[in-house]
Amino acid sequence: MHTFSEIVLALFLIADLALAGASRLKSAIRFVALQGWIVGVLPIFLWDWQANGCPGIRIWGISLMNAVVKGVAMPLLLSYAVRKARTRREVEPIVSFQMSRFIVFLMAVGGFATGRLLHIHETIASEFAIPVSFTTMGTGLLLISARKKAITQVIGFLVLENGISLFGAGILLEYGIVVELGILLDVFALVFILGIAAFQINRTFSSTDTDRLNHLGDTHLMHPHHKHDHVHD
Amino acid sequence: MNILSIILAAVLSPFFIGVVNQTKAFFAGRKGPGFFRLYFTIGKLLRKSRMLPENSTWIFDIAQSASLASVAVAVIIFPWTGGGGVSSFVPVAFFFYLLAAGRFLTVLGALDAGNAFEGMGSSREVQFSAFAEIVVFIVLGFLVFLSADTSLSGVLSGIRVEDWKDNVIPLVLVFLAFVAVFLSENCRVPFDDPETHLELTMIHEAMLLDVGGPDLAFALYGAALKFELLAAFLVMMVMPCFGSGWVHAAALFAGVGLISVAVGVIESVMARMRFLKSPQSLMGAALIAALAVLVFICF
Repeated sequence: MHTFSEIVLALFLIADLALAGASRLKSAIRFVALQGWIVGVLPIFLWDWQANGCPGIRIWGISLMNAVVKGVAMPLLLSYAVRKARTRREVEPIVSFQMSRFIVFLMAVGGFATGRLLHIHETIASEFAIPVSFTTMGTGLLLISARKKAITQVIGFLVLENGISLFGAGILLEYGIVVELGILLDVFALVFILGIAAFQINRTFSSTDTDRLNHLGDTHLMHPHHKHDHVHD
Repeated sequence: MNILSIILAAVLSPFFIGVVNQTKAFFAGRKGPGFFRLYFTIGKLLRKSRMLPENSTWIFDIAQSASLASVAVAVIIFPWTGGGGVSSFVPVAFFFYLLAAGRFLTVLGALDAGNAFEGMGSSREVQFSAFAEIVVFIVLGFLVFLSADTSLSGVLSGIRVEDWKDNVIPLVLVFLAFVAVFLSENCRVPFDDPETHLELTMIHEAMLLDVGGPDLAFALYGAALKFELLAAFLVMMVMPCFGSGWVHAAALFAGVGLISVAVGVIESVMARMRFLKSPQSLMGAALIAALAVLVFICF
């Protein structure tokens, strides 16, 4: 099963690169869903079947729940938010897609370098999980900071969370479950709230561009063509 | 035995294009042109007389045949039966330079015809292959690292089982990166659409607008050979070592057949990418290949 887990982790890395270069919200959501599925099934792949026999109900449970919440529920919620908010379907990048991909590549270089420096090979389930999770966290942060739309930032948070739970799955196969549950709840609430918030923002201001939200404070300095976005209450 | 396998490769190559087309026809619910259509097309074209553009020079005259010749040499040196013969002392880069020479001659021929559309096609062709070459050489670098051998048969002797156990991540990444090169070099969806054969939206074959008769037969056959060669290279990147001989050759051809089916499936379920996206995806493939080398070095 070791081989399977590594193939799956390679797919995870490619999903990171694809996310950085995804130009449509739909495809970005699809890649997040793929990552969610992988995070879900990874504990089963990492389980040492020959030594420990069939994994217990706890592992199956966490795996199923992760896959369902991150691979199905959240992507559905996100696409619902995209549909409801009627935003344009394109991702609006501040840093170009090519540059973002290259940055993710550099992050992978950094991730593998730090993963080697950490020297925790004895205790962990898979030594590849650590660099891949570093890269994924970096990709999440990049998506949060280098994309304009509010929805893309939710996607970035999800990717960041995928990275964190990958780290958890890679290091603490058995005891990370409580922590994992906490994070899952947090992120679920976050996606829920941000999804609704994006929808509400959009209904009020006809745009979820976060650049424009910055102008909300100083009413008099606003550009004339932004005026119709503004509400007086 | 070696010579027999080369002849088999030369005879079978149009058949694999037929496999791709039949797969597409199956998915579209059509009857399809049959597995052997390309043989008939080539036969028909070979019986026609030659026509050369008025302003062209001797370059156009020899371009297609010389291009086919260089691809044919690549077929001859390829280790179809798993090593031995010429392939054990030819460096692996030479194989790709032969394919590049074929492309160079096609481009020269297209420019010599003096047709503006062919000039555009050549420009695109060269642009795409420049990006593909980056991926090819990163992948080659990885394979040479892995097999500790620079000869063609050394690199393509099959992946050892212990390599599959120790280096799965890099192998998977390199394979996926080379799939992108394979599709782009053979003008397949999503990089290019062979349905628009000889039309202006086509990238690789816009260069053949003035080519007809036996020359076109050479070009089509050369494309089929190139498809088979790169598919065989792709197969050898994942196939474990079967030893050499007929078992190896049979497994190799079966693998090429499988890849042809896979290409047909990809073309049935995907649309062509926007033109500007293709070089970007090739650069993405280069990054994936570079990641593979990185992972290989780090662990």
